[in-house]
Amino acid sequence: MGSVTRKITNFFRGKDDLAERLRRMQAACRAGTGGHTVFIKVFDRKNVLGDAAHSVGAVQLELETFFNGLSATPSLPPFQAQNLQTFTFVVTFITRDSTRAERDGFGMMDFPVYLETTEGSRAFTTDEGEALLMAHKIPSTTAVFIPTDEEGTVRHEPLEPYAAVEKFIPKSIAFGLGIPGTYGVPHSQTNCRKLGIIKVNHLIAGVNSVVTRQERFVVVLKHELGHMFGMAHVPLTIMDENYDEVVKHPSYTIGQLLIVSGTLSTLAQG
Amino acid sequence: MTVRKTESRVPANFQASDLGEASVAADGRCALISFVTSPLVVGRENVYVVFVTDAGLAAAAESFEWTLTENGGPPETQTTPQGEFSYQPKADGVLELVVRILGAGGAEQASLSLEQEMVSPNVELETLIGEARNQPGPGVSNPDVARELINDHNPYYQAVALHTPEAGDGFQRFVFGVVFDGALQRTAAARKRHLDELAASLNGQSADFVNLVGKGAGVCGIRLALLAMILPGLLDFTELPEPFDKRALADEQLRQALAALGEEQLIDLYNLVRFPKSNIERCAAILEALRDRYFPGTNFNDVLTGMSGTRAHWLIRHFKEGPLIRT
Repeated sequence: MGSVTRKITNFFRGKDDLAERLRRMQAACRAGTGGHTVFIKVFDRKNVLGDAAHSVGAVQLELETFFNGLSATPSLPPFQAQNLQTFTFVVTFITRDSTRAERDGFGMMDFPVYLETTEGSRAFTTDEGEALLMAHKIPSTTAVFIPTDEEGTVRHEPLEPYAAVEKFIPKSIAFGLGIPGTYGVPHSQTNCRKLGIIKVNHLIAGVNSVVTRQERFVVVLKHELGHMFGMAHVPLTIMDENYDEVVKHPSYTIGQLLIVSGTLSTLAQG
Repeated sequence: MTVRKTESRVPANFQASDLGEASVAADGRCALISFVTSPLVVGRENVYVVFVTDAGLAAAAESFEWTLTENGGPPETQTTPQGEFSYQPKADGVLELVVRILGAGGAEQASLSLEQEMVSPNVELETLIGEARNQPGPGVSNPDVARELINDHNPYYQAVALHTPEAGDGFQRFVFGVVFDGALQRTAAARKRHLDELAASLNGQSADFVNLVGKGAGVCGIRLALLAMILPGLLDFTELPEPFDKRALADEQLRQALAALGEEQLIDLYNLVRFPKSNIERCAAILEALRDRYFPGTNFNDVLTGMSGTRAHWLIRHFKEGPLIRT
């Protein structure tokens, strides 16, 4: 019995071992419905939305206008423009946490984003971050894409969500994290598993102007949603790693838009 | 007896959906429960059980007709004398199951249906197993056990939660370890045989109950006597002597006390360990109760890693052999 009990406990001594990898393997997503409505759902479970946005309605309108206008981007190849046109983006702000039924039911076209704070009694910790990823059945590894031209050629960059969330939470200059589904994996069963997190307290730190705060919030949402669509950091674009550069670019590049188009097509096929 | 005692009642204070993916008749007279919650995995056996909780319906039932249709194709129909059926999905897509409870002359008495998705085996796991075969170094020691857990029981062990939340994921890791070990100790076939033997004894077909409950049951290997101590109102919490020679006699006395419980209580205990979902949930509840009793206030992360894992070692011993008197 000693060897059996020791075997179980040794199984879980460290975090970076096979046992942990097995535990984090996720069940397959349910098949998509083939729908073309993209649901961006922003959950304000810590009641920090008001710190970031003085007009939630204006943020919602700006984001919906931005995403629904992607198909009209100049120089976008006609086929991709037509494809993007078939999709409708709906942004909703929900002033509570998601329920278990909602999380279990998130499908191909759902893009959940959580607003967090690392301050005070409800501070977002690395444990909570990991629990959020597990609750959303985020797999241990996924990938983001870097466009290498404007014709849709990309290269993959692996992303380890659990390590990424542990690193991002204490970092004050990292305002958000966006985790894509496993779109690039052949026969992927976890395309639907995506998640965004924005640390509002870090986003607004040192910014007194409510207008500027809201502008930051919108830009960071576009950036993190870009990651959730599968985009990697790309210098000198809206997907730059540094906010000061991000804010200079109002829209995605053509290469990045092709990633959005490809991802949405993959998700729509279910 | 068409409707066996073991399918005549859902455990008290539990619902059909606590046991597995369930479809309950609108009139509440019967329920269909699937061991595996959708999506099912192609090539992997799933078990369905029909509970008939209405005495009149149970008296009228003479057989069960199971009709399965994959992706709208030709239906496959089989009839069983009792309300249990196994099926292996053949292709990705949608599985529709209809079970009819038939009476005299094949007259339909009730009907239940369930629609489930079917998917291929977990790609990430199969890739890991394939890589391990081709590379030196540690790999997945028992691929079949890993396949069972990840394809069949994944939503169950991932859903376990403490009654009082605590920081860290030590509890979830601990439960997963116990589930993995339970599946490793005995094959799914051996566990099913044991559960069938337990059912036979409860249904009056054998008198071996006291011996049979000496072994842990179901995927986590839960001993029914220990489960009865954790559920309210069944057995008093009874610790066993640690030395094996003294423990054997005390354990038999405990099993005799278990066997003396009412028939309905024994059937409830059986059904809680029979279904993987409730088995894993009850395993988690037992581990939490043992931690609260023997290491109150100790976070499960500390149980796993503190004191060189001694507390975890003792929790597992209490789970598998005890609870034990610590001297």
